[in-house]
Amino acid sequence: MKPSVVAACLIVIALLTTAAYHLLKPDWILFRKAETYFSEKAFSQAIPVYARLLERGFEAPALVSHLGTAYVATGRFREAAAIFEDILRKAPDKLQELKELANIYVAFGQFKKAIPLYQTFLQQEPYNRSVRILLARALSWSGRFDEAIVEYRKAVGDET
Amino acid sequence: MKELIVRSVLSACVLMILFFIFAIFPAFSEEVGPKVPVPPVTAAGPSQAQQVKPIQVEPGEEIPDWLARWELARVLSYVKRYDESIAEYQKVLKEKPGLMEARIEMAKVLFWKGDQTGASNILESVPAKDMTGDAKVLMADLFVAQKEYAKAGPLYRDYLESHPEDQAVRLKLADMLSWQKKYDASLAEYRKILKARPDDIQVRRRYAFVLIWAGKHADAAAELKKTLD
Repeated sequence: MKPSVVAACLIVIALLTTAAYHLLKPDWILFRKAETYFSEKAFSQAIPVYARLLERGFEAPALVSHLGTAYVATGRFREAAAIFEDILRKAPDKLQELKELANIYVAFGQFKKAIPLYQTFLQQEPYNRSVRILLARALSWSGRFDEAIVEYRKAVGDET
Repeated sequence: MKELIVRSVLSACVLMILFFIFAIFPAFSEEVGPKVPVPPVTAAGPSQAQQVKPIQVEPGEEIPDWLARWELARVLSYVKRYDESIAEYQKVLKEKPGLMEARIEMAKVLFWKGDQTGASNILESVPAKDMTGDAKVLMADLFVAQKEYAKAGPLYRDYLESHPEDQAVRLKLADMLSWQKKYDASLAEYRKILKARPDDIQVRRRYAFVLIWAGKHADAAAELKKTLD
């Protein structure tokens, strides 16, 4: 076969495959677009794309979590809280989401709601210093100073 | 002929690359997406919503030991565990000797503990440019406790220039001036306080006593009468 024919065949295959992929898997194309925005920290551009995918019933492991994180990054904490609460209702042991939701509660001054989330996180990752300090802060801000001191001491290694 | 073969091979290579980019890569990325960084928690946090200290930690970022210790030192002081608090402040300052805010806080804890000399020593080590308003008031309080009124006065006045609404500190100054028998200056400060807080019976009674000490008995009687109405 002549090289020019081979080349033409390859071009056709490439175009057809691409076209077919866009036709058959448009949601994945959209998802990759949202993920690109997300990785470039263009969160406000990522949000509507993620939201559209959710409406369409598209499922991908990172979709909901990234939408929640994008809401946090753009200061839309109520939407973010709703997203993370929903994730944790279905999977209560998701660490990143536990921490994100606790941080949101703290941002709203809802320390009593944040504290058990940090504590659940620490049951699974007892040596996570940062989260232990976040717990200590939340305890302190809610007036539970003695408990805060215990957590601070653990965090700085004065107590195990 | 040879040239034609080379050109064909090159074209084929280019096409293969295009094929990979347009056809294969999207399908591949469907299964394994690139690892994306988690954005920072840009909390419009409690500092804005609740007037408390915001979370300043970004995912993956470790909170340094000295910062955690500093927070611990503060919390210990809230529950009046002063010795433990001071020990933590000392550890923080050993690691961060230039942390003047922590130095001033430690002086306060020493003051609350009753160690006025220790508090004075600490404050004297703070450069004038780093003296916050709170530190100036604390320093003045320490001078008052040692009856060094002449040193305390300028510090209170300096603070009040930038915080004229702080009637608690103005009351300290008014009291101190009365102890120095500088009655006119004291009464002037009391009048400023009463202008801001006309219904404060306790302040008005103290004002009346200074009027008595200044020999203005009729004015004092009028002020005391107001507190009984």
